[in-house]
Amino acid sequence: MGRAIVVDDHPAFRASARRLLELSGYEVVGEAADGASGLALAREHEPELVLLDIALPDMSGFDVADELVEGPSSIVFVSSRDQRDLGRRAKRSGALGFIPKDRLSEESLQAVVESAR
Amino acid sequence: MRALRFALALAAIPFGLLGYHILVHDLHSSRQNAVASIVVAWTFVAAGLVAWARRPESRVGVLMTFVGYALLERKLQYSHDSRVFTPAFALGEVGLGAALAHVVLAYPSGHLSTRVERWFVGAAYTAAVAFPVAMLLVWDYPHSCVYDCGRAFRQHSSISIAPNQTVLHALNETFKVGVYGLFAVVFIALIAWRLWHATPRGRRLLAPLLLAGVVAGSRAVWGSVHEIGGTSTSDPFYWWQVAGQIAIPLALLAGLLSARLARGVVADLVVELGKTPAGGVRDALARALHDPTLQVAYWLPMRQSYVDEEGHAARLPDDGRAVMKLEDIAAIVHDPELEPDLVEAAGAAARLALHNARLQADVRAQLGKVQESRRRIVTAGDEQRRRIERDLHDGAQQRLVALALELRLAQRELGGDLDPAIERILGVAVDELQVAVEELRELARGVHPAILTEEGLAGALESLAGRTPVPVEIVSAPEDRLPREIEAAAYFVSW
Repeated sequence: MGRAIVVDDHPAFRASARRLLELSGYEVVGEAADGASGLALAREHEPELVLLDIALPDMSGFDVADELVEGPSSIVFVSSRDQRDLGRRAKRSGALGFIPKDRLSEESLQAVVESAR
Repeated sequence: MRALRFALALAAIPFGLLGYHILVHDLHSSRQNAVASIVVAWTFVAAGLVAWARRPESRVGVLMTFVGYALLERKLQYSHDSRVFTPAFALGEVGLGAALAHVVLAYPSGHLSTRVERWFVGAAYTAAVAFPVAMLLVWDYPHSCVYDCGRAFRQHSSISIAPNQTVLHALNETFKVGVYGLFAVVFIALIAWRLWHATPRGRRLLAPLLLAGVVAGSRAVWGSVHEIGGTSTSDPFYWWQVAGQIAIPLALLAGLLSARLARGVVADLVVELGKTPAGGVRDALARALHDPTLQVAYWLPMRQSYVDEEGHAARLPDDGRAVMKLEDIAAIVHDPELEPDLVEAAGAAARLALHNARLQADVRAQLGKVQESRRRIVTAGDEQRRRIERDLHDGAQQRLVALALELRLAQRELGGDLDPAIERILGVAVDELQVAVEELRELARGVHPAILTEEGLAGALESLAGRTPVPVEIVSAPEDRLPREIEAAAYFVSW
């Protein structure tokens, strides 16, 4: 499937997301706990997929996505909030899609990735 | 001082009669012109003594009296007696040339307010004495003549030391053009400058006197132009000069009279205040004192500070405007040209009304503090809700979604080997967790929606409309960000 990175400030979720991505066939090349580290990691590895939390401690996931949207990586937003709580920026961003964290699964991830093709 | 003024008033009568005698018999002036000339001087003396008595704190009265006596002294220079002619000629131009300008520029305080005015008046006094004295020093008897030169009689200078008719003639021409021409132009410019920079009230107060000054100054310019042109400035200009000179002391009397009328207005103020609501006290005072710029600041002893009528903090000005304080009640900020006595009288008349207005201002100030306090409470409450929402999101919500994901991964990893009973339990657990996450999400949204913080009212309302079971159309919502408290209040009204 390709390489992926996980950007989320919650360690337990990062660990679970890593396992989910690996089960889905991705090689997880890195994890980041904040936006700046996530950007550095994405620029270094240029992964096919970035699983990106929206509420990060240093900056918004939307801001991170704005920086990466011109690059080779596909971005999937995750959040513990509902999509309707994310507002207009989620619609305007260049991400593949959005998955609520409580609904994150192999199937939902695959559905979002395939819907973009 | 009263005795001195009385003595000066009495002395002006014989002094004037002596001047009249010299004008008629030595200068051969017409009786009509001689009377007018003496009346001008007596008007100055009379107006000056009245002003001196009514406004002893102002030097204008003294200056006016001095001008009157200087004008009477001027008549002595036409005497055929050289012992009278010489000192009278030496000082004859002081009254008309310098003291008159002095009193006009010093009105109404009696003090010259700028360095330019002081320099001008000093130069005028110097020229008014220096030129005549120089002329007396070169006086060439019997060839020299300044007045009534058509007759055979010639005046004699007692201090002539180097008689020279040419020099005397040059000095006389220069003096007339310089003092009555150049000085008059500067004089008029200074008057115009004072009017231009005066406050509206000050302009009204100064206008009559300055107008008289301009009339006299214009005549001097006109006379010097004719002197250069070599033509006569006889009758029409003489009467023009007389009218202008009489107008000056009369204008001063008018100024005094208007001050007395203003005191009458203060009496009317008491009646008007009986019908005026507390909020109209300032307007009533402004009308009574004819000062539309007047302001009232109310003293709040508990706060040890001034407030305006609305209870907002007010500072007393330090820009030159005058302030009259009514102890423990208010301060009246007014045009500095207003008489302090008059403002004090108006303040005393309005004391009760100002006291009531002060109480209202105090209540408004306290209300303002209560509103401010409420605003702080609302802000603190809003901040607290925001913090709770953040804590829910970062804490319990994160742990529950991580747990749901773990259970889902366990289902996936155990796959077909899983006992159906355990598989059912895991399924129920995942479903319950999702319900719990959804309920927690709803709770957090109810405490404070994150989208309101991130996107403002328009985005939050759009999100709210999207979750509502019935179709909702947002017709209009502010796209610009509003203060947090207002956004929160508007959102929760809609929620």
